[in-house]
Amino acid sequence: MGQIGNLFQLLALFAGLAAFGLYIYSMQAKSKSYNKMADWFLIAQAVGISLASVVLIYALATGYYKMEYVAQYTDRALPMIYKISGWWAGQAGSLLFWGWLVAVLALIELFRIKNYELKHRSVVLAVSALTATFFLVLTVFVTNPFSELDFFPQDGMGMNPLLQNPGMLYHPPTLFLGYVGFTIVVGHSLGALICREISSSWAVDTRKWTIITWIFLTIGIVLGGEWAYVELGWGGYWAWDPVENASLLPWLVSTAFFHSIIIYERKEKLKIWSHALILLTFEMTLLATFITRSGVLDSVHSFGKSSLGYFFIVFMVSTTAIFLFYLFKMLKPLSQSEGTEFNFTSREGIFFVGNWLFVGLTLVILIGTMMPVFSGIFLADKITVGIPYYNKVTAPFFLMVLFASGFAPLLNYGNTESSVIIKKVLPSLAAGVAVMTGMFVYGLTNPLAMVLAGVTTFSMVTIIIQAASTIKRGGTKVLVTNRRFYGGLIVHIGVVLMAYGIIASSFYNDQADKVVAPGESFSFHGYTLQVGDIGFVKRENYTSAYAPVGVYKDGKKLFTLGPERRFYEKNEEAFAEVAISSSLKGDLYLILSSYSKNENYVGIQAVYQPLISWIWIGCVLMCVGGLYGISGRKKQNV
Amino acid sequence: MKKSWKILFAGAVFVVAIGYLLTTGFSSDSVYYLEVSEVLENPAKFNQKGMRVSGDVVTGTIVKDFKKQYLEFNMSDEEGKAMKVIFNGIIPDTFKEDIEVIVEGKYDIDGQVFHAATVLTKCPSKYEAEVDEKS
Repeated sequence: MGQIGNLFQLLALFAGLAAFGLYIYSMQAKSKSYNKMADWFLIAQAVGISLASVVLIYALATGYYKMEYVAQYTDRALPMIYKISGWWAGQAGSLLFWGWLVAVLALIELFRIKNYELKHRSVVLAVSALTATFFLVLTVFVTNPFSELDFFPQDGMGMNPLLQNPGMLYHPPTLFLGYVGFTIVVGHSLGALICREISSSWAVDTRKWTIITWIFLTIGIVLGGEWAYVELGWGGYWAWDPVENASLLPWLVSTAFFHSIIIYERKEKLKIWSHALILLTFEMTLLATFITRSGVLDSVHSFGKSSLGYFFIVFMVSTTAIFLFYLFKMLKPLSQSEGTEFNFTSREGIFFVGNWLFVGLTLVILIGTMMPVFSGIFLADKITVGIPYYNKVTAPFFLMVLFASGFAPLLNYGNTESSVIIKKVLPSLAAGVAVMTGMFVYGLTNPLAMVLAGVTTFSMVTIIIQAASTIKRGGTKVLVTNRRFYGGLIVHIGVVLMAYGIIASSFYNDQADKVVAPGESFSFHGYTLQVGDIGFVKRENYTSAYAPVGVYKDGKKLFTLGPERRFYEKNEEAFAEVAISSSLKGDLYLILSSYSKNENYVGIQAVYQPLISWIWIGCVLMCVGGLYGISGRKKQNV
Repeated sequence: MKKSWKILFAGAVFVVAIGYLLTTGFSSDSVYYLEVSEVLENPAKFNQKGMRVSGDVVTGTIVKDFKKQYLEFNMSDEEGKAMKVIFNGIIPDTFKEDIEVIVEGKYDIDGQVFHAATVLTKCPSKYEAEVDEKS
């Protein structure tokens, strides 16, 4: 079976190369017939890699353990749905998955841009074909999911219990979709550069790709945090782990990108920025995949070291070089068309500052994440940074981004009189100060938390005023006719709500660690927790030990939580399964950290995370707002 | 003011700010990233910043007490140099013999023991399990 799968991916590889070559040639020769032929090879590539994927899924589902990949990630006892998720659980399979996604998206784009100018469409599709081919090179030559063992194992090794969670089914695919879609957008950007196109049409045309991809990326990152929160059992959702940082990098630069293209479209400015930012986004998606899949940085979920890194570096450097070559050729016409008028007290001025903030944020996170690699090359001693570094260096940026997101809508395009600004800013400023005062009175006196909450409130009130005043002026019909604007406002409300959740849970979480005898109780964060005796239950492929914990407040019983430890059949060690009681005010989070029947004790770790639900709610609003913003037809979005 | 000057000025402020953040961030919040043998060569130097050390858990050296939240083990690197590690806290689920761990903390030179503030288990062996004949 392995040979069949390998054959399909080899065919896809050659089809991709042929498509790439033919697109380039048809551009040079201005030949429609060669272009057509290239289309067929692009389709062939998608078909080939799809068939290869089908073979892999079939092997995973039926337990064909002769294929090493299948044996490494699955076993007989594994539920079917997780067997199939093996496609993206490991290194080789996930790279094939990436390649498959590019090929499929390229196919969609092939039909969407059927009647575009030959040169432009050729560039777009050549970029996609090349990217898919790059991933096929990896799966054929470096880490082949189809390679077979010289014997047939009785059973596989099974999947890591940490990955046996619904999160495994939707987190990696959403994240990957959030990476891959940008391949199409960067193709259009390069197409515009090569066609010497100065207008923003390429960016406007691909806005849906950009926003939808960004939504997937947002969901992917937040789901990753949520997964870590419910599954990894340390009470948090974000640890500045290299793999988490990796997914944040493309998010930051893509966010800057789609803000930039608004100015590109409306004010004919930030053109070079827009091109540079989408290039950066594309390279960051590759870097993120590389960091996650090569194990270059030690992380709880990086994979073993391999030669993958060199392939990624060569591909990233060469694609960047090609792109920059064409960007430099267009530098003059692009900047000359922008004009010289520029003010920081204009909306485009704040967007420009926003670009710097997002790029700066990307830079400090990137440098921190890659420090073990950089210092290994440039310094005498290898050094690394932890959570305090990230908290310290990113806080000022987040503060300014939040401020800018509230400040920008108050400004006009062009220039705004300072007296007008002051008048508009006052209510929001007052609200921000009020929240800070309120916090101070309640004894929440951490200065950074106060400033962050104040700025967040400032931003939120501005959004509300903005929404109210525009609706008052234009009637409720503007909600439908100007969806892009209101979609944006909804996204910003989501960001603000998420910010509240992050601020509260970072600064004001509460933790306790207790070892008690069954029947005893202890108090925690205003609750009384009564710990019962350990019980056992047998499930499909694990046995669970759980401690019923009665939660009381003011003498009244609220509910019972049952944190567990699970013993999977193929594993010697136990895995904690946390119990969470969630409300809008905050989450009570219990971990069964230890127990012994013989010595008669139960160890409970309790965590209280205030306002954490607002992170998930904010994420939902961000996605809803994004979708609403692109839901109308282009003409409606004036 | 002309556009180029405004942008140049803002850019300069920005670069200085980032530079300042990075240097203060790195000087106060970075730690050395080492192998066991490197720690043993010059612990006094590395104690200044603190360190993160990666290595393998030596089979047969683990002492665990869940109730007291006490963990003791030896960790070694590829050169075979080993040091004793003591950790007080919640023992990670994935901690066991024969895995790679990353510990963060300081080396007690007199007691010849590494006091770990955190113990991270590196990717559980399942991620890249070697499939062998008997499985």
